[in-house]
Order: sequence, then structure tokens, then C-alpha cells
Amino acid sequence: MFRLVEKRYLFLALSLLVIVPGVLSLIFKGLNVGIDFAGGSSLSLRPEKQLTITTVRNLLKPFPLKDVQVQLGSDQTLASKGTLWVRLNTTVDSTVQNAIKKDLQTLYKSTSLGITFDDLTYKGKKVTIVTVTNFPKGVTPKVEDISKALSKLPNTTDTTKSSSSSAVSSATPTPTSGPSVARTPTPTANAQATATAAAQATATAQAKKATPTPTATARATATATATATATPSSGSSSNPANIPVKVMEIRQGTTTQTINILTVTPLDANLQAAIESAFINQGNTYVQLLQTATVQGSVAADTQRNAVLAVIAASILILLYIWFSFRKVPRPWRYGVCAVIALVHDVLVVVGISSILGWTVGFQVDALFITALLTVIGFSVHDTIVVFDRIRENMQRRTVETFEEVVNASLVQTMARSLNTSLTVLFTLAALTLFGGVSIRPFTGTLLLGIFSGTYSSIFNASMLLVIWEKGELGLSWLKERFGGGQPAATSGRRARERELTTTRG
Amino acid sequence: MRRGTALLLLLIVILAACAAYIDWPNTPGIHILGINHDFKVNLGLDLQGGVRALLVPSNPNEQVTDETIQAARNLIEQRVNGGLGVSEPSIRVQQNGNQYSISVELPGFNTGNQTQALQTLLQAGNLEFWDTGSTPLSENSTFDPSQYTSTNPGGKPWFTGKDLDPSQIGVSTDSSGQLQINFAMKGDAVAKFGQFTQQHIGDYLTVTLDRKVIQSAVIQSAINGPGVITGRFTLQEAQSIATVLRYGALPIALKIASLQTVGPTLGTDSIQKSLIAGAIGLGMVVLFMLLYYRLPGLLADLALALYAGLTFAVFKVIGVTLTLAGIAGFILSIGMAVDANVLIFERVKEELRAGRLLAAAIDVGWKRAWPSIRDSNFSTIITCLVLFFFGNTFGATIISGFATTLILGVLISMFTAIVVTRTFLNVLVPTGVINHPALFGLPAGSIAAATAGRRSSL
Repeated sequence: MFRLVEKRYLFLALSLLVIVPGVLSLIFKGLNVGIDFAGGSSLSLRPEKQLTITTVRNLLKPFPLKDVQVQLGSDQTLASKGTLWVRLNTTVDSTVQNAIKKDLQTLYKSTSLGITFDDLTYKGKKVTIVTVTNFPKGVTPKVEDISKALSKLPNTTDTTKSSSSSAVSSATPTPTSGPSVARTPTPTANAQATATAAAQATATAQAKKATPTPTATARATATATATATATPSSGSSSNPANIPVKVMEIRQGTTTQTINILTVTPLDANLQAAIESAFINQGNTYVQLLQTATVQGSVAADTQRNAVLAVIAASILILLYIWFSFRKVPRPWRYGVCAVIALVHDVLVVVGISSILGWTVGFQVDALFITALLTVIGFSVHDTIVVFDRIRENMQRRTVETFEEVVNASLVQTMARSLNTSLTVLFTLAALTLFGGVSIRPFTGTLLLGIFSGTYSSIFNASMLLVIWEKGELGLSWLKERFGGGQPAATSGRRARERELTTTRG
Repeated sequence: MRRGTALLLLLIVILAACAAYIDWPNTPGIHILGINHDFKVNLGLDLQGGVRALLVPSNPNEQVTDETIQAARNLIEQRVNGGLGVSEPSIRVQQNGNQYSISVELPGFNTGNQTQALQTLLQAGNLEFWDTGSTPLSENSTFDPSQYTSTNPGGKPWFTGKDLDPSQIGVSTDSSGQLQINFAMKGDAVAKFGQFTQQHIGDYLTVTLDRKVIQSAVIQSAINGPGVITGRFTLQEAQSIATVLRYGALPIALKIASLQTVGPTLGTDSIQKSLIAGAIGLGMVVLFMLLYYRLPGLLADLALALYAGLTFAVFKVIGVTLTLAGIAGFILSIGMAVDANVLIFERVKEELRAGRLLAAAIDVGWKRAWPSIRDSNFSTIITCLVLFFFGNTFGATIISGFATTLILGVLISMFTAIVVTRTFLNVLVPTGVINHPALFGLPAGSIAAATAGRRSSL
């Protein structure tokens, strides 16, 4: 027969070995919370043509976005042909922007056209992309009309100041659907950030977006700012308006598709421009920015607190229930307390290890973590009670053995059941974790850890604590007996045993 | 076979048949006796997509703070979940500068035109009772309080949604089959409403929701108890309005700024993968039970199949939305449902080893295992009830949703493990065909010689 109870301090030490680092990590590093709790940013785009979710994911892969969720949608109120993109050969100053606006507003006899200017990277070179939307009702815009209206544009000053020669040389038309350039767009985005933006309305507006602007659609601000700074560029005299501006390509939307991107990473203007550039270069599709915003978590702010309170309340009730249910054995409330300690043990193991995995391998805690933790709690108590029940039964039957022996016998008797139940659950979980989709891996992984801990604590902690408590090893009396010069332990063997029997049998 | 056993067997067969009917992928549903249920499985946003509505404050004069928008968000979440917390929406507060908006993603709603139902669910939900004197107002017209200041002192309604008792709001049909919303006032408002209706008999009582008339009817007599609002609603609208009234009005008025249908966030490959993984896991559980416990294991596997069928049927009936994680949890619960069986079989084995007759061993084993099954499951049920109460009281739907599905799983697994497996064994034991020790995974000769067959009273 296994003498499990004799090794009780070893089992408890093993638990502490896991819990202590976990709790320390939790205190100093916290949990690596995902977008469900922490919130992040959302970006809604509307592509020029239909994209698949895999394409979008691949386009986003090179960017340092944490916890990205991509969702494709369709907004029937967006007329598929109602957005046009005009790519210019260079970045342009506000004079050119105003000229474009005036031309288009004249063409469609509407001042409410949505016209935005974005400086994006096209094949490694920074150019302005004009997005035109919000055409008057009943009007289907045509590429030829816009092409004609924008045939004569004024020259622009060099908005980058440093690459005037290359701007002129690249003025030769490029094929509309050029091969994609395999180049990470990040460096260019940085270049955009450092660009002096005195005469650069779009850049100003986009920079402002980093500190939130008071409009829902940031591009509207871009337009507004462009009008506000419409005075002719009084920039340095060394920067004359001598770069010819040409329309390189005009494309019209073909879809009502929308792309919703959620990420924990704050999306500043640079990152956003870089993402849009990636769509153009690698995805060969222009995108219209529908909305960008910071988002709060999808788990209500006080849910965590409520979950903790609920678990505390449930623990108290479980303690009371076990107290009631074990009322025929002496000191029944100790069983309740030990079951709750085992429960706390499992919570600490799961939360602690999740915290450690958070900063070591980037394990992220999402809304399902709450669900997983609650499942673990339910399982833990369930398991502990089965063992305690056996102790209760044996206490009534085996009246000549010490408490220690009864607990040990009960543990051995329930071992097959504990292992079998845990094994079936662990089988299922292991299969789900190993072969299931990546998206549920954190969930099933957390459960795997928790169920394992639950089984361990019900066998090796809860009952051991009962024995330790019953023998008074935690209290001062035990310390006194051992170190305070009382009777030596060896001589008191038989008498202690008798005394214990009388106390445990009440 | 004893009478009780036969009855139980019949009950099990009927339950299994019902579950099979509901679980059938193309089930015709039930459409009789006023019950209308399609038994469609609701899949989550990750699996089938849904709609995504962007709500923005519609009244520019209203002050929107972080608290009010959070409160609005929580209310919408409660409305969408309608109590059980199993609808799996994703609702986020968004912010751009000082402009707040709420993004609401709901699974489903993307088949057919359900915009109306969605709009009802997302409206502010200010219910008001007005006295419009002798003027009846037509339904759906916009109500202008300034025209009725003579009968409504100060241009204020007599009663509002805040005076209603949330627990008494429901939908029913009157004798002519017209849908109506039941309500009752609460607290002081009960007496005040009785007094008001007493004093204004003959006047038109006009009920408005967000200043749109939903009913305008003559007060026939004093209404001292519950009342009804009869309007022209579809069932879905009536239920949405009832839900909106139950949880109260939003602190700010919102409008739908954009509405898009969204596709699933997960590819079909990940669904496929997880289902295969689930099948592998379950296959291992079934095989394990069969190899370790032999014949009882086989019976337990049958009981497990019934557990899965019944649980899935209940999920379909109460409209649990299944996300991928929900499916994983469901598969996991099947693994956990064997627990009671394992407990019982271990005890039966012990009793057999102790030399008891098979029938007696099963009896005693069951009795001995019962306290631990009872206590462990009761404690889980207590946890569920506490979680459900907290989740519902504080609007943490994720917690109440968990509690709902877990308590269903516990109850059904107790039923299948205890009643179903027991009945199967009771049917088989008296026949005497299962007395071979190997069927129980025990060495030969370990089942006492006096066979149960002789003692049976078939």
C-alpha cells in the first residue's frame, strides 16, 4: 500500500514551488491581457476589390500587430462603384490638393464629395493617393470623367525636399497592375513621419490622428485641414513649385466588402499608412478608410471584479454545504476549508503560470480565460469532494485506525476513480489542444493546466492539509511539542496515537 | 423486468427520440399549438459571422461620458443576451477623440432582413404613458408632448418604463390571437396607476416608445393590477420590446451609423480541425471506458451518447450560441460526464471483489457511490447558481452564460449516468447473460456462483 500521507510535506512543497514563482510573476508582471480586456485599436477599411480573409491575414503578417483579429464584412449601403482612387505620380502640396478638389467639385456639382489625400508608398516611392467618395445620389462616377477633369494639374513644390530629382525621373507611367514589390513598408512609414509637413495638409492631419481628433472619420479632418491651410505654400524659397503632377491611375471600387481589423497594438498614423500601402503594393488593391478608433475591451470593465466576487461567494457557500454534508464527522468545517484551499491552489497555479507564460512566450489572456478558470474551479471542488466523501465513509467504518491511516486508505481507494476521470478529461483536452484549431489553443491549454492541477490538489493537497490540521502540525502546540522541550516524540508514540484516536473520533 | 425499470426504459427511449428529432441537421422544427421553434443551431461570430452595427449618439445635445456609454454598452449586452447569457455577442465601446461609439457584433441576424428586429433591440427604449384626452393617436406616429400639456401636466408623461416591474414583463397572445406585451407597475406606481386610470376613465391612454406611439386606447376601467399593451407587432418585435423594457432604457439615445454583415472570423479549416480533434478525444474516452470497464463501459458509452444528444437538443431549444470554444467546452463536458459512471463502476467492482452477487453488488455500489456523486454535483450546482446570480445582477453575461451551460451539463450528466446506465444494467442483469466476470474486467470466478439469473423475477 502506498504511504502517500507520509510524504505530505513533499507534495505541499511541490505545489509551493509552482505557486510562489507564479504569484511573484503575477505581482510584478501581471497578466498579458488581450484585446478582450485591454482594448486596442480598430481599423475599418473598404477594399477596391474583393479579398479573402487569408489574403488579408498575409498582408498584415509583416506588421508588428499584437493579437490581430480580422473580420470581413459587407455593407450594402456602400455602393460598390461609389469609391474611386486616383494615384498621382508624386506627393503633392496643398495648392494641388485644392485644385483637385475644385476640379472634382465642379465636375459633380457637389461640395459634399468626400475627397481625401493620403501619402502612401507605391513601389517604394511616396505618392499621394486621392480617394473620392460620397457622390451625389443617383450619380455613378466614371473613370474617364475624372481622368478628363484632372488632366491639367498645377505643379507642386517638393513636399519631401530631399528627393526632387527622383520625383521627376519617375514621372513615366507605370503599368496599372504592376507586380507586387516584396518590401516591408515600415521604413517608408518612418520616412513619412520625419517629413517636414508645413505645406503638407495630409501629413498634418494624420499626425494629429496619433493624438485623437474629434471626428469619427479621421479623413474628414484631413479634408478640413487641407482647406484651412489653403494659403499658397510660403515655404522656403529653395523649394519652388516645379514638379509636374500627373494622374497615374484611376480605379473604381467593385465591391461592398469591408475589412475590420482589431488589434491590441495602438495604430498610429504611420502604421496605418504602412498597412494601406501594403494593400496597394502586395495586395494590388486600393483601400478606403472607413473608420479608425481606439476600442475598449469586449468584456465589461467590472466583469473581472464580479467574477472574483462570485467565486468568493461560491466558495463560502461550498464551504457551508460541505460543513453541512459532513456534519456526522468531527470538525466538519475543516473539510470545507480544505476544499476551498485546494480551489485557491488551482486558481493560483493557473493564473500564476499564465502570468509567467505571458512574458516568456507571449501567452495572452482573453475572455475565454474567465470561462476556463471557472471550469477549473468547478472541477477542482468536484474532485476534492469525491476524495473527502471516501474519508467520511471510512471514518464511520474503520474505527480502529488513526486519521492518517484512514485518509491514506481513502486516497488509495479513490485513486483509480480520480485518475480515470482526469484521464478521460485530459485525453479530450490533449486532443483538442494538439489537433484543434490555433484559436482555441489558449482556452484548452488553460483547461489542461487547470484540470491537471485540480486532480493534483484534490489528491495531494486537500487531504494532506486535513491530516496536518488534524494532527495540529500547523499550530503552536505542535511547535511547542517539538522544540519547546515537551515529551520526546519517540516515547509518546502509543499515547499520542490513542489521544489522536479519541480526538478524531470526537 | 420490473415495472419501474420498464417505465424508465420507455422514458429513456422517448427522450432519445425527442433529442434525435431536435438534433437532426435538417429538422423540420415544431410548429403546432402556438409553439414555433425551428431548432436551428446558432453558431457564433467566429463560425458563421453575423452583423456588425456601429452605434453613435444620436442626440448632439446629450452629454456622453465614459460612464454613460459603458452603461449603455452593458444594457445592450443584457438585452442581446436576454437573461441566459448564451448569445455570445461582442460589444465594444470605441473612442475617437471625445467621440464615443459602440460597435455591436451579433451572431446570426444575417439571414433575411432582420434590420427591424435589430433596430428594436438597439433603440433607447424609453417607454412613456400619456393621457391624450379624447384624441386617439395612430400607431407608429411620432408623439409630440407639447400638444398635450393640458392633460399631461408639465408636458411630462404620467408613467415611464422606470415604473414597471421588470419581472412581470412578458409577451402573450389575447383570445383573438393578437400579440400583447404584459406589464405591471411596481412600488408606489401600482397605486398611482390605479388612481390615475380611475380618474381618467374614458380618456385615451397613449403608450409611446422613444416618442413613437405603440398603443392608444380608451381607459375602460381602473387598472389596479397588471395591464397589457396591444400593438401591431411581429412576434420577434414584441419579444424585443419586452426585452428592452425588462432591462430599462439606455442612458443615451443611439442610432445605427452603419450596418454590415460580417463573415466568420475563423476559417473553415480551423472548425474542421477542432471537430476532428474533438472526435479523436471522444473516441479515446469511449475506447477507454470500453476497455477498462468492459460491459458497463459500453453501457456508459451509450449513456454518454444520450448525454451528448440531450445536451445538444437543450442547447438548440434555449438558443445557446455555439462558438468554437463553446464546442470545445461541450466536448470537454462529455469527457467529464463519465465521472459519475466511473465512480459507480469502481464501487461495483469493489463490491464484486468483496464477493457479492452481481445484482447486490450493483445495488450496493450504487448506494455507496451516491453520496459522493450528490455532494460533488451539488457543489458544482451551487457554484453555477452563484455565478448565474452574479452574472445577471451585474450584467456580466459571460459569467451567466457559463453558468447556464454548466448547470445544464451537470443535470443532464447526472440523469444519464445515474438513471440511464442504471436502467440499462437493471434490464440486463436479470437476464443472466452478463454474469461472466470478464465482462466486468475481473478475473474468472470473481463473481459469486449463485447467479443473479436464478434469483431474477422476469
